[in-house]
Amino acid sequence: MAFSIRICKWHGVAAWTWDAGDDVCGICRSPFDGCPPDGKYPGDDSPVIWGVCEHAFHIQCINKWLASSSEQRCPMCRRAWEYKSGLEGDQPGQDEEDRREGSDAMEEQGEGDQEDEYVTDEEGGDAMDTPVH
Amino acid sequence: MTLDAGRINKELKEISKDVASGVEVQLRGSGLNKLVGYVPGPKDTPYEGGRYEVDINLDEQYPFVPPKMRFVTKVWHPNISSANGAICLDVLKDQWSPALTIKTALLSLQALLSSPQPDDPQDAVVAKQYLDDRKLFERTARHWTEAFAIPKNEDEVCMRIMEMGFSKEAAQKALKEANGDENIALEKLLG
Repeated sequence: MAFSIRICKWHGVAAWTWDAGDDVCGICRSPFDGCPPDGKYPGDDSPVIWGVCEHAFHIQCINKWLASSSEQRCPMCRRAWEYKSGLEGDQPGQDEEDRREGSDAMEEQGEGDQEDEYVTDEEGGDAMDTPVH
Repeated sequence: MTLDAGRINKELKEISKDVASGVEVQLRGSGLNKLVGYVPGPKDTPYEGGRYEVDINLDEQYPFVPPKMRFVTKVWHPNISSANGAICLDVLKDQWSPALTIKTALLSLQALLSSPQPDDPQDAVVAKQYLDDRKLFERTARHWTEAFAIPKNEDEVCMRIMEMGFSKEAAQKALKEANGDENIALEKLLG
């Protein structure tokens, strides 16, 4: 049996945006509020990171650039690249992986629990998706 | 890693919207990785009036590696090989940044045409001539521009006549009989 649901009305209660001072990532040219080419979900899975030079990029994009280039420079201003501290932490790659592990654990916990369905659907969700019991 | 189609499509759209810069980019075939660019020769240089075709190849790693560019149109310039069009330009090599684009790279080529860097040559013969005998260099560069880079006027006239519905053979024949005069050729064809 299949159901189809038509949404007649909805109320937005919150919206989010990255306050990066620019609309698009200077590397992939995709919006900061969207995904870089190999990102799956916008938002916390495609975070924006700043350098001390104040230029911002998707974390995946800047990490890919730093990994592929011998000189660690900002793509915009060519200053030596340094992550701006106090935002996403100094080891963003590590940070991201921690989060992913956390959400996996959550999925296991929620298994068999009907009310948690929306969490298990979100493969890449993070702490903010934790349902309130 | 696959080609970042999203970014390349965005770049192509942006270039097609921007007529003011004078540079053009088109797809060579069905793929996004083979492109052809056109750079107008800068004013007040021996290259003025020329339209330079540039072969562009995008690696799968683009934009993390620079686009591969080569002049298809022959050009006499210290930093461009007179034999195969290879280009010596820092932003196409170690000074590339993923914040640069195909358009900025083509504009850099245009800037390179305006200001040769003979100390870092791609073509040693041209560079030597540039340093030793600037007048001769400018004459040679101009000669190459006229011979290879300036769209031929007679081709344009022939194209205009063909656009009116005449075959290429008929247009060429009429132009020949009219000694290249477009109006006389047209009268012959229409008469």
